[in-house]
Amino acid sequence: MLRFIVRRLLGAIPVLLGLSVILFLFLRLLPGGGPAEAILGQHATPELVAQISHTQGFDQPLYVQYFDYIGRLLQGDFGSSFIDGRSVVDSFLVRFPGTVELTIGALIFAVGIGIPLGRLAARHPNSWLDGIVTVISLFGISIPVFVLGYTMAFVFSVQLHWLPDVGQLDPRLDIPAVTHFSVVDAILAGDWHVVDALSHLVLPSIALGSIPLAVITRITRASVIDVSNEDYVRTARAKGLTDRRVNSRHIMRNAWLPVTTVIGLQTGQLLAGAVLTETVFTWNGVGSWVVTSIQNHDYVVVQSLILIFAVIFLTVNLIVDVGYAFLNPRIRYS
Amino acid sequence: MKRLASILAIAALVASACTSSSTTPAPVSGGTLVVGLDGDMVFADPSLVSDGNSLYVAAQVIQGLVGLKPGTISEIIPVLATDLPTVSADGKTYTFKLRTGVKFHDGSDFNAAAVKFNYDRWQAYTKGDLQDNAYYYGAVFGGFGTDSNVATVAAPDPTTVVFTFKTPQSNFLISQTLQVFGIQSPTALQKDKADTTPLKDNKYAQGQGESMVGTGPFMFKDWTPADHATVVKNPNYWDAANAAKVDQITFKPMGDSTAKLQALQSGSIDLAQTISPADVATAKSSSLSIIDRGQSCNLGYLGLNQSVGGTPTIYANKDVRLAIAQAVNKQGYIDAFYAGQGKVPQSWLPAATTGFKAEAMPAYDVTKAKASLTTAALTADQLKVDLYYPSNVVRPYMPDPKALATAIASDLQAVGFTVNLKTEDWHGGYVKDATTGNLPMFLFGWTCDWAGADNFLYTAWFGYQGGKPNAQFGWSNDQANALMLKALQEPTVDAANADWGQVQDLLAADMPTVPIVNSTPPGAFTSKVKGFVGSGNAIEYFNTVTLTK
Amino acid sequence: MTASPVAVQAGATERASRGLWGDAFRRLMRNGPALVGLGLIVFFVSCAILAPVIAPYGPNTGSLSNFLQGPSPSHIMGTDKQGLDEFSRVLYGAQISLTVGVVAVLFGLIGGTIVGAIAGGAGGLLDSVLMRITDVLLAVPGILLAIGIVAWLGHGEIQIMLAVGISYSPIFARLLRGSLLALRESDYVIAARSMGASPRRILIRHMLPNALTPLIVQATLAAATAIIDVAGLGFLGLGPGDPRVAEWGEMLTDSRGFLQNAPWLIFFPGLAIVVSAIGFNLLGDGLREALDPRLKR
Repeated sequence: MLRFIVRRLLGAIPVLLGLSVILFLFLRLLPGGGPAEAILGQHATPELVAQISHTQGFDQPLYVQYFDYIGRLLQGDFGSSFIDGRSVVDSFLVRFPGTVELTIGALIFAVGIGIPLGRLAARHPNSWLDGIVTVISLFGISIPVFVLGYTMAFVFSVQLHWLPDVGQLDPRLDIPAVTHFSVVDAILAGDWHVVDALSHLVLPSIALGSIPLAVITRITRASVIDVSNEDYVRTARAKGLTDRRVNSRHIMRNAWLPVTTVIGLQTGQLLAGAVLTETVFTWNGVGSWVVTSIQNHDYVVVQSLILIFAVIFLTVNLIVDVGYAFLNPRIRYS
Repeated sequence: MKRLASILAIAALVASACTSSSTTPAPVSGGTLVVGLDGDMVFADPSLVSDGNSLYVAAQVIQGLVGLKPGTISEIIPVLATDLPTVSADGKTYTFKLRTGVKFHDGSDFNAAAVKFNYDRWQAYTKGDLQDNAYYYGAVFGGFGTDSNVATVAAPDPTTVVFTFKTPQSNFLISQTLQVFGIQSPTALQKDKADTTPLKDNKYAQGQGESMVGTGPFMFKDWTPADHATVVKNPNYWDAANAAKVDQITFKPMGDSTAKLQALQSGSIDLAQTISPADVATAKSSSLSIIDRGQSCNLGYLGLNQSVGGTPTIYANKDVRLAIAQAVNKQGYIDAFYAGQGKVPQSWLPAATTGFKAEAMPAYDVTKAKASLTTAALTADQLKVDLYYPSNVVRPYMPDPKALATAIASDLQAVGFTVNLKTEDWHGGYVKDATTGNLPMFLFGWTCDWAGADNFLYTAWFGYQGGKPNAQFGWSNDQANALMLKALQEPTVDAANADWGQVQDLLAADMPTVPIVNSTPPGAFTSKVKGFVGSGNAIEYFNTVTLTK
Repeated sequence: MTASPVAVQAGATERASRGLWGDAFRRLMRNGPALVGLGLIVFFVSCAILAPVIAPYGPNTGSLSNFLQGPSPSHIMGTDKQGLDEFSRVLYGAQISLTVGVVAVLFGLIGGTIVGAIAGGAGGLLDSVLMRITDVLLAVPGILLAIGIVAWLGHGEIQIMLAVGISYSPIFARLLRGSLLALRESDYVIAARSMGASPRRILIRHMLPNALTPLIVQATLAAATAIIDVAGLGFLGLGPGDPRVAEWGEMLTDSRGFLQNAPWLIFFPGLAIVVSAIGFNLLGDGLREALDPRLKR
């Protein structure tokens, strides 16, 4: 197992190096005036753009810029934004917690509702209950995230005033940003502010969790049905074990395998899905940051961010694979 | 199943808990005003920014010698000066008298030395990060250091400041109303090493600590990038009658217009700097007040380039330009895409700009347009044209570039053109291609930096660059260029305005571009907000605002 | 994807595989939800083909002065912000949206199949290199990849199809390679190899046909996602360049400001997207079950 982990980690190095080269070339060769244009706004005359590109070093040969970037990266310097001059790591530490909270919220929603729903449907395959679950999960996949988000905000915030629709915390409460994890900050601030933080998480989590919810529901349903038809389950039933015991001991234990895989894959997808959800709910996270940075040609930010994304993605998948082996001792990694 | 039930129970608990918390009235007197800003601030040192969001926040905190009367775009009033300056006959010396008893937010005194310190500081900005970001100083005074038109700033006594220029500068006073020329505390600037480069190590500019130490009715409190910036009431404001009424303002950057509208409706924010014109009807019907920004300070136009890549285009033909100007139904666009919040331009300037002269602009007339096009005698192939519009951008003069371009295309088709619609990302080539002269027909516009004719006609469009006509239009008119240079150096504003009037006559006679709209971008606020005064240049002051329950 | 379909085909022989398809078709025809899905897709395809006949107006005929009118007898789905008839545009939109969805997936399928077949067929160093590249693509969230591609190639329908297709191709490549690897050790491939068939022949004649079924299922499901992803790109301002082209995603994202004052502009194109996506999903599920008898309920 340890050897497997080490090999996977070593294998990640060429992936990341390749990614850095591709990203670098890709970004530098993008059409447009570069970050100088974003700094200048409507004052971006060709002369001023050229002047700023020169002082900021964008007109150096590409390989010089690349080795400069990689050299700093190896020293742990992820560089800084050309637009607001802020270091990528500082901004990341401010924004990433928001995305983590949103991702966890979405996963809790998707797993918490998806697995019970899937089991429910699997227990009575082809019943009207099963049909309803199928329709719900299909809608979850088929509705564009922003339509779902706006509609929920309209119903639950504008009309019913049940839940907030903007950001992570109510600005009127003046909760100091210590960790930038809104829930943690709210707990630190005391006074039951944590309720405010949690209530802000509800709608965005549901919006972001809708697709994974649908996928997890369907996979759970399919794998529970699959496992239920296995001989050992039939044997267990024939032995006269209670339904509950068969379910927990035999069915779910095995049905967890594909479900875990899907949860892992979906976690990677959530980072991408967060781009839309964060926009709709004015959520301060990395999703919206990466989009504006691409639009502003803020090279260093995009390069470093996507590398960080890639590391997270690879790590999550490694954890999932290890977890998979843990759940299923029959799998051996060579 | 049981688990599902417990999850639902928790969800219900959370929902009920926050219903009760949101109905609790805000107990603090004064209260917190939450303002939805179009985007995040860039730097917390106003001298280093040129974007509207930073300036919007800075306007609450920092004050200059002169400012604009709230709600107007070109009525100059003294702020930290007691009066408008006395100007020498040659137009090279401006003398300001300063207010006494004004203190910066850090407790230090505002005086002539502080003014001199600030102007000297900007002039001495070093090449690189500082000069690259301090666009306005360089643009207004023609450069930094010895390039600057400022010869000296003298402080003969604590309440007198004397500016001496190398050549007369008719736009000096109106340009100084910009927030970037706001006076900050020299004590704070020095203590916090506000000139540190690179800017990532500059805590003052990053707003991570003491920042924006000015004299305004609000004081900078904190800024979490992309999340919010907060200013609090200045309890010792020098002008007690106009002191802030709310305790705190939180500015929240919100890029998405639908999210902004819904946040207003749900009460998550109290005021939105702008809302999409498409949302105005909904906002009105849900008892939100629309911000009236009376005087427009921008102009959206259809750019026509007479020479692309050295080859003359069909737009070099004046009849073609005229035909297009007659073919576009400007009022129709304003009704459909600007929620009626705009006017058909009467010249190449918004009407309230200093130097504006009303011209007889071509009216929407399909018959005349067809006639002009017939006169132009274009071949069938020449009638096939490309119309460019930008993606991924919303500008005050162009709230929906895609829709505007679609409608223009259909109007041009109606008079005989065949239009091919094309788009590029605003920063991904559009601005570059437009300004370097690669786009034959394109949507563009200008938001005023200050409401002077020079800012539109000379800086933005028709001033020669490096002795050559602006590549955006390829419109060469030496007479207009000479007139503009003359106007800039007139000793008095009146003399300059006469020159600008002549420039506009030349433009009207030749139609180099087709002005489409002077818009007044709508914003909105909830019924809790009282006393807000909107302004066409989107610099607005919150000291008059109160919050009711 | 679960690994089960692979296990089934691993035991199949070439002759039996024809039977597999026949069986699959019969199973599909007996699967109610799948037939519903097929029916929905047929319905939208007919809308696309018959649009010029059914639609009361052209996709771009109208007058700006009629903008944002509510549903009425003359405009049963109202008019949009340009004053165009929404019903006609939804009908014409079927042409573009279905094409974009299907072609995007085809792009992804072609790219994925080539890469996956080479990797899975060749093995060794080439396999490692190709799979590392695939990892790189997988590591970048799909929507970011698409943003980058549109930024590079400019706005337009082809670019969008390419962008979505490329972001799907690593998934197809992995799927195919996985199936091929499993098949390599199967009895009939070993048999073919021992009879002296060339590696290329084994790959093309024996392995690929059997490894394609999970791809087909995945592609049907991806067609649903593709239509939604195109809408998502439009939301980020990366839609097709010419807004006069009626495309559901573009119509939907263009109208997102009208959720409250002209909800019909969200509802109808949104409904078209959701229902067609459900159609592809039901069909995809049906295919999966039909091609994998073990899943039969």
